Formats: sequence, structure tokens, C-alpha cells
Amino acid sequence: MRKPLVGGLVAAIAAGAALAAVGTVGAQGGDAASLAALVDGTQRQLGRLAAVQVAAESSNLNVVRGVGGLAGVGLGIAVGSVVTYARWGR
Amino acid sequence: MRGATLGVGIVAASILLALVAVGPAAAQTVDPADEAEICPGTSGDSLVVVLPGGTDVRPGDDTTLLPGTEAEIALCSGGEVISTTAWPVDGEVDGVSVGESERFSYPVTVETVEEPTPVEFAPAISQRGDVDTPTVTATPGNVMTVGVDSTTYRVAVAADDRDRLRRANDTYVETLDGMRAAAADLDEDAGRLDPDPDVPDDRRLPQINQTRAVTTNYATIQSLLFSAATSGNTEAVAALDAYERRHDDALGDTRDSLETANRAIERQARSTALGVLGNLLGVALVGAVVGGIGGRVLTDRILSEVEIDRRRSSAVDFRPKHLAVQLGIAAVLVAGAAILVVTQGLLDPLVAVVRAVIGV
Repeated sequence: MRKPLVGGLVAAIAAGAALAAVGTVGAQGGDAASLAALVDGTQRQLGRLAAVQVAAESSNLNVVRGVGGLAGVGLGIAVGSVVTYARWGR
Repeated sequence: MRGATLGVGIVAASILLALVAVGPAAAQTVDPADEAEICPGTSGDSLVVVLPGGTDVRPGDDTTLLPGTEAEIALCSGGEVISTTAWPVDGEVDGVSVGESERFSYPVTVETVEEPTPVEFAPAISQRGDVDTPTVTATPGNVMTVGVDSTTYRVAVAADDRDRLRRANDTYVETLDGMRAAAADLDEDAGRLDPDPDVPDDRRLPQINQTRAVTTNYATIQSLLFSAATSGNTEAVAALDAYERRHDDALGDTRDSLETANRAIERQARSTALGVLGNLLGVALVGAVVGGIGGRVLTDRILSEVEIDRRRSSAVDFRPKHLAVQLGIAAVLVAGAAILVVTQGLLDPLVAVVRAVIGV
């Protein structure tokens, strides 16, 4: 038996679905945007990992050590000289 | 204000969709208890088309139906629904197929038509003589079977939109599944990755970086299914609900995989960066000790000579210029290190190393 309210209820389903759709379109837009941001973030992390791995390659690591050595000796000379000069000045 | 109204609408719609899942729309057979709903405004013998969703199309009304639409026809006589034994359908009706009679109605299904076809019920009910009928037109279109996960839904879609829905659905399913699978693979491999440094960052995850395509195609599917739903196609409502569940599940899985992968990639980059930084700073520390000793020895030698001259003449004193050679050598060494970094293409990698270590 068809209840008197069933017609109205079922008719309201379509309207309800449309309203829900308006809501879910907005929500899904937010979901998709946050997911897109997460994808971008992951891509940047991968880019950083790739760059770090370039520096960690054995041939580049020797250059990195050379850079550290040159800079360390240069800074050491500067600091050692200034400290010694200051001691002579007293 | 509009947001609040929308929120109430969403809540109401959720409840209604839940009711659909229970299935009240399936109970559709007409009986005399419905005559107060079906027959008002009719006079004499009036045929009423009862559409899915409870819409009644009476004489004087005008409706266009897509192929595949399932409805019922009932006859009101003097404002009462009368038994089908009193009005046998004994002829063909263009545009629809008429099923076996129920007690008070006949089920009808709109057939596939090549062009808009008027559906004339009256000639098929010859026993009743003069029967008023609504104006019903069967229009070209098709009922598509849309599969969502393991369930299929019969959805009435106009012919013009059929290919659009099929294409949108195919692309949507392909991209959504591709995103989810690629994110799961990334999650599985994260921590052991060796990404290509020559690939631009925005093209590192082409399989996952498809949210725009997914959103666009999902919006197309929703739009077409809404049209079907508002035309009374209850399976379209169920399909919408299923699509939404699938969409949310897939995006949720993709997000979970990416978040886990992100953390693993970050750990891997930090660990590798710490190794590089250890090498750089370790050698620099040794160099600083050696340089410091060298700077002291050199400065001591220069200032010793100045001290001897100072004893001979009061015009001589310690001046900052006596540091010029040492600081010049230091500047040349530091500049050499900088040049080495730039010429060997290590500027970006070393910046990445520092950022990975401090987590910026």
C-alpha cells in the first residue's frame, strides 16, 4: 500500500539529493584542494630528497669535504690571526 | 545565513538518502487507498501516470519521459481508483511497453525511441470509450548501467549526455584508481626512494597529481546524475550516494598514503642530509684547527718583526695592516670554497641539506 507521505518523501529525496550535492560539491572542493596541497608538498619533499642525494653521491661528497676543508682553513687562519694580534696588542 | 540553510539542507538530504538506502521508494503499487492522492482534480474516466518518486501526471499535465523510466498507470473514475479488470489494456501503446496488470494499475516502461514520440494510452483502453489522458512524450535517450564498486545502477540519461557520462565516468574511475594505487606504491617505497634530480618538482608524481581531473569529472557525473534524480530516477540517487562513498574512500586512502609517505621521505632526506653535513662540518673543523694554528704562527712571526722595529723607533706600532696577509689568505680560501660550490653545482644540494636538517 502506498502511504500518503511516501510520494512527498520520495519527491523530497531528489530535492534533498540536489541540496546534498551542493553541499558535497563544496566539501569535495575542499577535500580535493587539501589533497592537491598534500601532493604538492610531497613533490617538494621528493625534490629535496633528490637534491640531498646529489650532495651525498661519493664524487660530490669529496667536493663537499674539499669545500669544508678550504672554508675551515680560511676561517681558522682569520680567527687565529685576529686572536694572536689581539694578544700582542695588550 | 545561506550557509546555515545549506547546512540544514545537507543534513536533511543525508537523512533522505539514508531512507533511500532502506528502500521506501520501491513500494509503488497503486491501490484504492491512494485515490485521494492520485485522483483529485479528475473527472469522468481519467488515466493517471504514477512516476517513480510519487509524481502523478494527470489529464491536462504534460510530461516527457526517458527510455527506461518505469511508471504505473491507474484509472480514476468519478474520483476513485478502479480495478484493472474494468479497463483492460488491449492494444499496443507507442513509446511504452505495458506489463502484466496489478489489481489497480499496470506497470509501464518507456521504450527506446528514435525521436520524440507521443504516448497515446486512450486507444489501447477501447473498452472504456472516452478516457482523458495526460500528454506524455517518450524522448530519445538511454538507460545506462553505471557500475560503482560491485553494484550497478540503471540511470536514465538523455542521448546527448550518454557519451559525456560514459567518458567522464571512464576518466574518473581511471584517474581516481590511478591516484590511489600510485599513492599506495609511493607509501610502500617511501624510505627507499631514489628520485631523479632532473625532474621538475611539479611533475614528480604525475599519477597522483590528478586532483583537478578527478574533481572535474566527478562534477560532471554528479551533474548528470542529479538531472536523472530530479526526474524521478531513484537509482540515480542511489548511484550518487555510492559515487560519493567511493570518492571519499579513494581520496581518504590517497591522503593517508601520502601523509605516511611524506613522513618517510622527510626522514630519509634528513638522515642523508645529516651524513653530508657531518662530512662538511667534520672536515671544516679539522681545517679550522689547522688554519687557526697556521694563522697564529704566521701572525706571531710578523708581529715579532714589528716588535723588533718598535724597539728601534717609537713611530712603529702594531697596526691592523699587519693582519692583511693572513686575512687575505683566509678570504682567498673561503672564496675558493664558494667558487667550488657554485662551479660543481652544489649550491642547491647544500641548501637542501641545510633545510632538510633544520626541517624548513
